[in-house]
Amino acid sequence: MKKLIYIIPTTAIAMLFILFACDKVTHPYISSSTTTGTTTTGTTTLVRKALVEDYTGHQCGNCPAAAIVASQLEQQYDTNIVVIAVHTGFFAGVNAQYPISYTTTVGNDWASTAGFNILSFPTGMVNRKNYDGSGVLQSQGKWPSFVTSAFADNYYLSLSVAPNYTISSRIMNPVIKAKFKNAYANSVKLNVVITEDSIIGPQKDYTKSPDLVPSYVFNHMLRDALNGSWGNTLKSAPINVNDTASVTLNYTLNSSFNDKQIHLIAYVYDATTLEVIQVQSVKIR
Amino acid sequence: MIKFKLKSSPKATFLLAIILKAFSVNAQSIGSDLGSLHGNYELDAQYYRPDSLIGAPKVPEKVLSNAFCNLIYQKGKLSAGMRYEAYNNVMQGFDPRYKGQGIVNRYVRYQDKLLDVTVGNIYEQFGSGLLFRTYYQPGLLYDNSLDGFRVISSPYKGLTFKGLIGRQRSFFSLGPGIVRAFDGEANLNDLLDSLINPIKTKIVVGGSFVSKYQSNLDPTVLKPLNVGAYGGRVNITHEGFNFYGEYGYKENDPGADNFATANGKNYYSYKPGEAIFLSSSYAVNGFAVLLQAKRIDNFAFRSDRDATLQNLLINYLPVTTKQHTYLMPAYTPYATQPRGEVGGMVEFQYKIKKGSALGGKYGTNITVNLSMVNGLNKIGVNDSTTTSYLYTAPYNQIGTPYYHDFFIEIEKKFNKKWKGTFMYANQFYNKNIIQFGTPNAGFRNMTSNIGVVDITYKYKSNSAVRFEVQAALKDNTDTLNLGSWTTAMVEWTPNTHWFVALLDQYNYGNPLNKLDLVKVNNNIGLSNVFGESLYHYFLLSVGYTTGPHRISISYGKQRAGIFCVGGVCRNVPASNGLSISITSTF
Repeated sequence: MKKLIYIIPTTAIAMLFILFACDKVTHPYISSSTTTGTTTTGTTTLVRKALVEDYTGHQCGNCPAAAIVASQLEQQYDTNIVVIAVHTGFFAGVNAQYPISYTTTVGNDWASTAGFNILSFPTGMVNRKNYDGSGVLQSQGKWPSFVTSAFADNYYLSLSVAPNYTISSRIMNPVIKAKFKNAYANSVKLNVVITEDSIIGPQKDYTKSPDLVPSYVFNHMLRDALNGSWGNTLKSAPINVNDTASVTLNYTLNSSFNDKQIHLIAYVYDATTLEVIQVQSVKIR
Repeated sequence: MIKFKLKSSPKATFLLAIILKAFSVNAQSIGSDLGSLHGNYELDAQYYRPDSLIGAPKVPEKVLSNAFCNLIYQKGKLSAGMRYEAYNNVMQGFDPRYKGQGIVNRYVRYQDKLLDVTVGNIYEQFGSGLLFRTYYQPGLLYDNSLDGFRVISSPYKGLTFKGLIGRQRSFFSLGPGIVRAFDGEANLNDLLDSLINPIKTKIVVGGSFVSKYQSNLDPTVLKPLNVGAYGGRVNITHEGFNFYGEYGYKENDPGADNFATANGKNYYSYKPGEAIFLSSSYAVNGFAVLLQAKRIDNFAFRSDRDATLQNLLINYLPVTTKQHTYLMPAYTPYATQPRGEVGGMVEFQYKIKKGSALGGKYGTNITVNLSMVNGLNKIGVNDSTTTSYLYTAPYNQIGTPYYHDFFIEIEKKFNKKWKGTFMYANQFYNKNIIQFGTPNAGFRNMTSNIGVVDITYKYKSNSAVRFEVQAALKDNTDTLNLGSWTTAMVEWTPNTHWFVALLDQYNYGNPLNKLDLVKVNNNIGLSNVFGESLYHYFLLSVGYTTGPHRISISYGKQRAGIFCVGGVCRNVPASNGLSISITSTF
């Protein structure tokens, strides 16, 4: 009788064991029904967009692999994705081989211990949110999954961005308008930054031998912030349905930037959790 | 350990009653044994000073600290424990995602003849850990505990079954994957008691199955949601002979550990993983030999396929190189390459007998060790439209050298007051692979010839002075590495409580000298972070130990380094400042 009792746990464990399955994925590995993001209707965004931040550096030999993921996401989801490549930290340092600094005050602030404390590269964030419990900072492998989760999140506000850029004077007077479609519990902040595409320069790439790629094309490079590294309060809590807010800024574009490649990016984030709840990007000309 | 009995003060009894309540244990009536509570705590803190000469950056917080406290309560068949950790903010050199504080570990365990059940954070290991090992290592800030449920059962003498299910710790939360693990082990001598027990040979066999589940929200790439890994092991002992062998196999598991970039696209490898670990030793009077071999191919097993560095590893790949304790031979330690490696170690230990010509009055210990690791010979395959293995790695071929370490160590006691340890080591270190995980990182391989002399003078029964001189001769023309180093240390232990030590590390062979520094910064890749050459890194330490407490304070400089695992790199900056460490057990 005593031995019979012993059989119970053993059988239970064995059953657990048998129930464990493993999936063997065979070719094709690429999903046949590729999902595309929810489309944008008219001029007003009616979807929750995703901000993808790629923390990188020109001396970071593993970083081009992350830039590939960011550009693939952009191809796949078009304007529902906004990418910012932040050059910062140790691997963004300069020397004779990598002579130009691409770091910015805003990028360094985001990466600092007071910000997101980014010390390993490449690292990224999607809407500055932890979607699966494993952290806000993620390697590029997880960005596609996080982007899918971001699209499924609640939609709170529409955001319209008008750059109002004068080519001759290089002066911008951007007007950013927000309209809340759902109530929101916390105060929210607005931060406005610019990125530049198609900058050509040397990049370390460990998949190449030698590892120095002299004419690498940098896209989505963070260049500056228009209202500080963390922006200003857009609306204080409580925020109700149909609440609106409008902000006008004034900014002169640095003469070294190519204004044909500049994107103006506005994002609204939760002042408490730092989660980005909406983002919008427009080309200034 | 503090034992709480009936005689303890009413206050203590009341306090313990609250603790017991917290653990949901039925309060025992006054008069019975309330069980025992024990634990330990540790605090490490450092005050950082910026030092441009060695490249130590400004730390905004000025002071950083890591601390933890373990509490374990035991009463009869029941035990429960918890650990509180605090990082304000985490010290330099550790993963910055450890930020904040909280109770990160708690468990309750009940053990009787029929079942041994644990609920909460679980540490467990199957065999050598090739398929499953969860453990906590505060010095490395490594904790991959499984938060879940474990049941251990021994239905018959010599048979043990273990089943686990849960999710792993990831900093201050849990990883996204679910881990299910099963292990069975049979001690054949116990099992077949009457049949084989006259035989002196002892045989233990075991088998494991570990599976993880993680959803895949990436709509573009198909990835297996359940990944299984399985393997078997055998351990045979016969008098002084011991053999251990384990094999593990993992189903396709595309993720951060096996992707490759080519022609502007990222590809995941769907190749199954394999691992073999063999270890054998033989010891007779005064002589011992150890032989180890290992082959790893695509065998990082994580409960989050996109995790990197030390995060969310389910398994542990055993080390087959020597872990040195002396500073110079430990400067460039080998790190197991889960993407693929083949290697082995052989070690001989011999004790020359007392009274012989070489052995002298006290005998002499000699250790000779050789360990080598090479890469696999991975042959690229363009199969991204068929099996997507991306490469093949034939068993009968080996790839480029990653590491070797040959050393000979002699320990000799001269008389009652003097003893010494002498070591010579020759090391080869493939910096590109070991630190950057790629052959293309642009560094030269490093070869070092290392000498260590360690002399202890015991002038009273509890008082000693120890002198240590070490030198590592390296390539002094290699500007990306740092050339030769030498180290000297004096350690004084006046009694069982105190110690004082002064250490100096001197980078005398650094090819960059002071005057060249500006020029070099403008010409060479990463060398500028190592700062001024020909620099002395002094470190003064004072320690006090009494009963269960140990306090140590040190002041000085530590050198910089780059730390990479699996394609993600972190710069560990140099530091200069005061650090304090307190550890206590109770």
